[in-house]
Amino acid sequence: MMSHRWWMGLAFSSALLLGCASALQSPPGADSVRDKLARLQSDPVLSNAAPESLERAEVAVRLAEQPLGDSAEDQALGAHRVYLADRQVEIAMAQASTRQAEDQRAQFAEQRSAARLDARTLEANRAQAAAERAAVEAAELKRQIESLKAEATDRGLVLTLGDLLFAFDSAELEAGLSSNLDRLVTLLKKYPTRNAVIEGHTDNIGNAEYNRDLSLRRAEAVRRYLVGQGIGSDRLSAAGLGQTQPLAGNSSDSGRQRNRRVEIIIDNPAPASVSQRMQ
Amino acid sequence: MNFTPIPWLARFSRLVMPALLAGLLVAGCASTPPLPQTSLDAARTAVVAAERFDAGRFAASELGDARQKLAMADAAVRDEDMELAGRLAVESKVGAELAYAKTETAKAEAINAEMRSSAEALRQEMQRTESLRRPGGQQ
Repeated sequence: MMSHRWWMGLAFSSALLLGCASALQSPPGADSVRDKLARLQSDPVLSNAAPESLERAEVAVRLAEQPLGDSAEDQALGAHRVYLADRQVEIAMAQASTRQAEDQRAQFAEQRSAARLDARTLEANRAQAAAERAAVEAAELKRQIESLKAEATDRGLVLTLGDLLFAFDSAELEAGLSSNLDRLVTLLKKYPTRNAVIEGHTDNIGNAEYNRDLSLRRAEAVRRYLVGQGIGSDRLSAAGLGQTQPLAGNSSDSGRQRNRRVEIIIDNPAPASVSQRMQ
Repeated sequence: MNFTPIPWLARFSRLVMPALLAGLLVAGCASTPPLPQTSLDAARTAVVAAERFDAGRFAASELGDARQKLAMADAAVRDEDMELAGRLAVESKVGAELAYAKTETAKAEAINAEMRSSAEALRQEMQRTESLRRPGGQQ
């Protein structure tokens, strides 16, 4: 009787042990979390990007892999551990991606500043080239001005033609003309964006109204001549100022002679038009 | 087979063991797991942090998951299932942390995309001005 009970006990214990051995296993889902973590760990870039969170994920996955029984309690614990492990792996993946994006950003910033530098260098080169062209033009213009005996003023380039071009009380240009006027034609043709204002002036001998009319007719005569030489009429305007703007006193012959004149004012170019024209 | 059981041990098994087991059972019932206050607080903090970080825009499903786990944890507390409440709280916290991490990634990638497109715009702008300025190009 006793021996029978003893054997029964032994058999039961063995069964229990065997039962335990076969029931203890990693909870479902643990292996797929392990696979997910392994993919992250084998990624050459991402695996090094967030080592701390990767380590936390490894610990969580190892805990999730702990063998458990098949009781409801153990299954709930297993599911809990697998869930946590999965979240930790996902967190590690996200943080690694963030680090990677930040690393790329440094590269972008470098590329962008390199592009900016290129743009600035290009701009500087252009500015330098434009400055050189402007300097060449200025030197050329200076030569032109010198040859015209013209004067650079705020209003532009002022070329003064003496009264020798006209007979007394006449608005007809004398034959032969001043070589200055021909040089003016050359200059206006060379710089087609520059316009000219032609102003007639007289001394104070005679009626002011008459003088204004005479000065206008003389200015118009110069304008007609220039148009005849091929300068666009829209670039030229004529004005008669009479005796209102004397250069010298009208008390002497020499003063009055200086006051009888035609001035041609060639306007200054707008800065933008310099580079446009020079292209 | 000449096996004889020890008499006092047999008596012990028969009388004391059931009492001992009953005692353990009573003790077990009395020591219900306490309210997992720390875990619940941590989960709530993590969910709020993720919400403030705009996770609702960039990781809506993860944030929704964390919120749901937190609500389930609160329900488990009401049901006095403190062990379940504790687990759900921890799951909620880790879920909220994931929502936060994914939002960080999305924001970082958005910044990169913006930088990429502005660098590209700069490059195109340079090419455009280059072709305009080139002799023989548009005057």
